[in-house]
Amino acid sequence: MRIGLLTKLEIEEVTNTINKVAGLEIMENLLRTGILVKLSKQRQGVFLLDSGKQEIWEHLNSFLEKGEGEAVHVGLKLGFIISGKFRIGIESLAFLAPLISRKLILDENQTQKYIYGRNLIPSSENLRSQVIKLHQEYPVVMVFSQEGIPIGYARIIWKNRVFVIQNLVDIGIFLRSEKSAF
Amino acid sequence: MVNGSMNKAFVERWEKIYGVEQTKLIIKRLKGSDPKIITPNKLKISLIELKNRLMPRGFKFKALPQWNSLIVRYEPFSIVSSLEYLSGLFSIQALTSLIPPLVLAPKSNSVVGDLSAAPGIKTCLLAQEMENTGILIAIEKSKHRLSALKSNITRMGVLNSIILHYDSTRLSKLSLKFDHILLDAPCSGTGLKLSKDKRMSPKTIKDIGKHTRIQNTLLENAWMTLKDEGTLVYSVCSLEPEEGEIQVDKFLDQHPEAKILALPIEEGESREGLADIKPDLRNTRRFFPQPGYDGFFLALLQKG
Repeated sequence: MRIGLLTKLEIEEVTNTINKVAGLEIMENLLRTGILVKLSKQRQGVFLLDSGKQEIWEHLNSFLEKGEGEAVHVGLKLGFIISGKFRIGIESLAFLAPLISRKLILDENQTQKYIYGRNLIPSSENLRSQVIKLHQEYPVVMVFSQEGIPIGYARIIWKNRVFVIQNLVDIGIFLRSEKSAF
Repeated sequence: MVNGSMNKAFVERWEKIYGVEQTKLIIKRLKGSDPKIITPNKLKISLIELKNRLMPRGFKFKALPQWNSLIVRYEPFSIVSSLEYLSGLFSIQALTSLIPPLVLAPKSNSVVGDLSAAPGIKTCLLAQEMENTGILIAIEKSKHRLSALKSNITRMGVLNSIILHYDSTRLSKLSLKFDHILLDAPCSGTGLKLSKDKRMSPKTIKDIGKHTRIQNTLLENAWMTLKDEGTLVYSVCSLEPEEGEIQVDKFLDQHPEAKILALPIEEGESREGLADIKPDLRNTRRFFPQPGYDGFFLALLQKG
């Protein structure tokens, strides 16, 4: 598997999605010192790589093109592209957490449910008001514990006249499904 | 040495090499268990901060300041299900895994190779030593072990790695030059605690020969890709001198430009490398199994 550059359309797709999740235009800053690359397979992994390391990965590419070995991870994985759509991945969580402004904060009880892969229905007034505001901006959000630990990504959906915090991915995956998820 | 049983042929061998008393101790300790040892992720948190986060939740620890680690004395619930573990604030490992990256001590902004990288505990420790800068090329031959490697580097926030699925016995074809290389080589594993040894087939004396050949090929390939003045840590979790002292001795014979550096560690039960073969070998270190450690061998080599 070789390391390839993203197309212009793919860069736009990744940039727009991450900026919307973050609530700030953070990708422009990240792309000043980094480049977006992909590893081609069915699900194309999208990675942010320090552009100062371009020489090394280009060297690696010439090696990989000879069919010697396979690159399976480079730098920071942001997510993956399926059918032209970018899906943000758990790998980006800790890196993006300090950079973003949009946060869904769960209490201890909700956090425990969330890291076991559960969807949540906001029961407290605090959570309901967070959800309504965030949903108006963009449905995908980063989820935090009360202590400020990033614990996953969620999609807020309006279903059967209630908001549902749909668990897209959470850090419990490191215990639940290490083998299939990575 | 599988499923808690021990091959008599190895016991007889160790008696000849290490003596009857040392062998009795080795066997007793191989049958023992390890305490749970946690080490803060230096990229994210200090030892004191970690302790202060976990203790109010009921966890109790004994400090291991010389290793910047904590022994878990009591856990009100499994520590691996804590938010702190899941968010990569610490790793859990035997001290055996801490030592090789600390000894290699790769510099920031260097190019580092980790040649048998999975499951990635040592890879993450290398990234911490490098302060997440430079390039850390983690190479793993076994496809089914890549998931654990990717999971660990993701959880621990490693940003400077490139993972290659590749056979490091062909490393010289990569034509890259490394400042530092960690070669924690595949081995007979006779130093591993019996409770940890998950190998499906029992070890035999014949395995030693097979492993020494692979280790030699790995060492030769690693050496070819090491820069002048570069350093290489060679380690094996084996009690067999053929995989440790004798392996390094043969390597020195073929590489007069190689020198063995003194190890920057004093702690732990260790002794100078066996073998009165060469004075240089006194700088190598053999650890016998004990609580927190598997039995292993370690050498720090420098080129030129």
